[in-house]
Amino acid sequence: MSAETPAAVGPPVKLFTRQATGLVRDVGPLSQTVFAILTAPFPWVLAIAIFWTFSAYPGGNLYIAYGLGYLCGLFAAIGIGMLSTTMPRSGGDYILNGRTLHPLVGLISSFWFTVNVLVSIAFITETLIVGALAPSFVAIGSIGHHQTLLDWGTTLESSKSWLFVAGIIALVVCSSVVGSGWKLSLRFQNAAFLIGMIGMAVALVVVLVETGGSFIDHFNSFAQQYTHKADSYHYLINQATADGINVNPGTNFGNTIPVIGAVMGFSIYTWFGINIAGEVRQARTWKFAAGMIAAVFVNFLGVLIFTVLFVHSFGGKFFTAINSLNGGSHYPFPTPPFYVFLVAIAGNSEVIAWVLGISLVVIMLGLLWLNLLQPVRAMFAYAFDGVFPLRVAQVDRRTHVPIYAVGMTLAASIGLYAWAVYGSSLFKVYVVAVVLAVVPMMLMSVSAMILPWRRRQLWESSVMNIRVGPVPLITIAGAFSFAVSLFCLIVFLHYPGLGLSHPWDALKYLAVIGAAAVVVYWAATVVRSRQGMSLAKATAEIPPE
Amino acid sequence: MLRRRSRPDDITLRLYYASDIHGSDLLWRKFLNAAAFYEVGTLIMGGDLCGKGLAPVVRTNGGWTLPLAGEERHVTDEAELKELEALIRQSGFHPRRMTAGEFERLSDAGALEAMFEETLVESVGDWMDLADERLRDTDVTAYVMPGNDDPWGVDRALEGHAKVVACDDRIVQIGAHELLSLGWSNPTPWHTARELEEDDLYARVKKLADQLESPRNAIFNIHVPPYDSGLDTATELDETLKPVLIGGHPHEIPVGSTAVRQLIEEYEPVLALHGHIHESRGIVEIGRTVCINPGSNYGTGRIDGAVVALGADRVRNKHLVNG
Repeated sequence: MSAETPAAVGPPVKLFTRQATGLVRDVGPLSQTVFAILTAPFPWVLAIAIFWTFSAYPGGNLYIAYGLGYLCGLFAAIGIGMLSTTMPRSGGDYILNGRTLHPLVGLISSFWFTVNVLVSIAFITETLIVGALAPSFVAIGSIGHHQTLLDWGTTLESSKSWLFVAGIIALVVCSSVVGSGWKLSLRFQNAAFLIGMIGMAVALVVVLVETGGSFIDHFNSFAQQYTHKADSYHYLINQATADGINVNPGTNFGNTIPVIGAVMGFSIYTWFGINIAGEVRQARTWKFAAGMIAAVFVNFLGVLIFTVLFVHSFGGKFFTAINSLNGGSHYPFPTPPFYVFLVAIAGNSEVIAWVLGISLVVIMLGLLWLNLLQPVRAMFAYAFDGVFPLRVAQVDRRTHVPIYAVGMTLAASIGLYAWAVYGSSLFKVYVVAVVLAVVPMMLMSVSAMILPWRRRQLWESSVMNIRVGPVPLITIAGAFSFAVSLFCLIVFLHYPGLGLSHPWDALKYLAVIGAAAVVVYWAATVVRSRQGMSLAKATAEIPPE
Repeated sequence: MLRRRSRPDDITLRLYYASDIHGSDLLWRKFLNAAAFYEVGTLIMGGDLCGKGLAPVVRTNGGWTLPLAGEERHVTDEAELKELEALIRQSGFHPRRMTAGEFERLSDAGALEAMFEETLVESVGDWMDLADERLRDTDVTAYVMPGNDDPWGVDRALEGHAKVVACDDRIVQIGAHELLSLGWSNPTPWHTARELEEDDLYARVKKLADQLESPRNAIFNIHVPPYDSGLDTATELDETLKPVLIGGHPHEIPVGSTAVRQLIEEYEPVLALHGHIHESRGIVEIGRTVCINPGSNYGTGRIDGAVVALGADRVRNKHLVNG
């Protein structure tokens, strides 16, 4: 230390850096934000995932549910995003929980979440065909009077063989994109997002222009061939009323809570980007968590704005009535009342139906691609840690993609998709899958809460080393994330209408999958021990002192 | 990690390898402790020891001013200052206490470069002293070489230690195996200290390899990985060091050394250890040679490494570890 007389410093005291080799990753902050948006893109939510609550929970206030549901999503994104920023490696909850709590806990958590994703892949694939592709064919066919498209749509909806074939094609296409490497994958992702947004921009223009009386005229003109009524618009409202549906309900706070749960079913996953954290540029900065947080706002504003516009343009009573009648014997149309159908009618244009149909299918392919990435990244991480054979992490020389992991994911997805198409019980498993996602979220939240004590040096050297008074900010964020995860779990266990009619099933699946993880970990421990390794030490932190 | 009870009889060497710790004091400490942790007798550090940033800790009125997390921090308490300096070291930067006058002189590029090198060499020297201290009563030896990013003075800092063998550009015997080491790389966009054109790199390694008594039983410890091996994939950079984008996305290319690949194919050593490309963690085989790049995530506080058990003529086991 110098004894020289201290003096005031002129220029700011900053870090000097030198020219040295550095690490450059593939996924930029903007692409990472798009990735987070695609975890539950708002066009998909508007088409498939939310308006069923009109009939399931009449009076449930959708706007309150959006606000609170996405607020919960925000807390989850902040808590888990902050945690991932401290150790941005690919592998998601396996890495975060394994490195913070215990490797076995990480593996159990990851098995739960990976099974959730694999089941979701099967469900998304089926929904892509019967909820987006087939209805889009029917919507375009009925609006444009194309019998062939109508036939294609109805065949896809009614023929299990065609449903299976179409789904396999979608799975193979998306798996091929995953297997092609990041460059093509990111182009695919961003193109899917862009096309989806073009569709929504078209929808926005149409519903702003063709509103109120204009829509009623177009709807009545179109619907007459199916209802044989001159005023089908009011006929359907009256029919819904006759079926006991309150088309003008006041807010029912009791029913708003499960609708919040329904919203949380898609609003709480923007942290999904943790699975590719190892590939994200600047993942050790706030930009990484910020991308997830921004995605919450984008999806929130998307569903909010379009719901307001749909209700305003189509009429609240009518919108409630047609969504409530959907699936029942008094619903007259061959395709569900999703926005592709209604907006195309409002625009009175086959071209609009094409644009909206294509945009919905493409963005759902993006959703499918995104889900296919997670098991691949998880298996890659297992293999690097010695839990799975290293061959699973072997990458293709040209694409640098772990090709065995991609193949295993595709094989598992096809198997589960066959179950979805030819079996009858996959949906029951799918709703249980929500629990398989929420429990790992709770574990990650706990990891975030205790990180400053369990991994003190890691926390201190990260940008998350902020305190609010005496308490680390990440601990507070983790506590909020834990609270919303717990709330989501309670809502899903409490309201059978959200799909989980037998809550004990959830515990059964948790136990079975958790036990499978324990067996795999034990087997890997034995194998590695015979090779002269301690599996626990492969991921354990070396004490520095 | 390598338990005595399960060691096959024909294991001739157990080693832990890591590289590219880039100034992280925490990772160096973990590297030294890896021997006991994984129960190996040999530690090999594959280069790029030095950090990329100098954090001036400037004496000011009533205390010290230093940069931390992008902001200026002023501290007056010596204990707090030491904590912050330790934090800076953990992150891979080198704190340097100085007067305001010395700080102002750093606006001169030459003065900055000189202070940088002096600080880096001092830091590495301190690390080697720590190695001697920690490994003193053990049978463990640390084989350490600089990498392409390390300034020339680092070579001096590695010499003259009881438990550290400075192994760059030479062959040393480890048990039944010869270790051939070279910290130089092929040209990089950063134009770092130790770079050679491929022909020169080939000649330099070949000169060493020709001295090997048993090339097929040797270990190549060469900082730069072999070309197009999957251990050398990085984003292409332009002359301003910005990623080359094709279709809006970074263009990935193999950036390893063709010379190193050719030498591995010609000499077929039993094992080749590499670093340099942080993002290309993996294990591949080129012919009979097992090639390993454990990668580096030095900023996270965890050290990426590899534990390898060698038999007489082949790799018995190899595991990537994250400590």
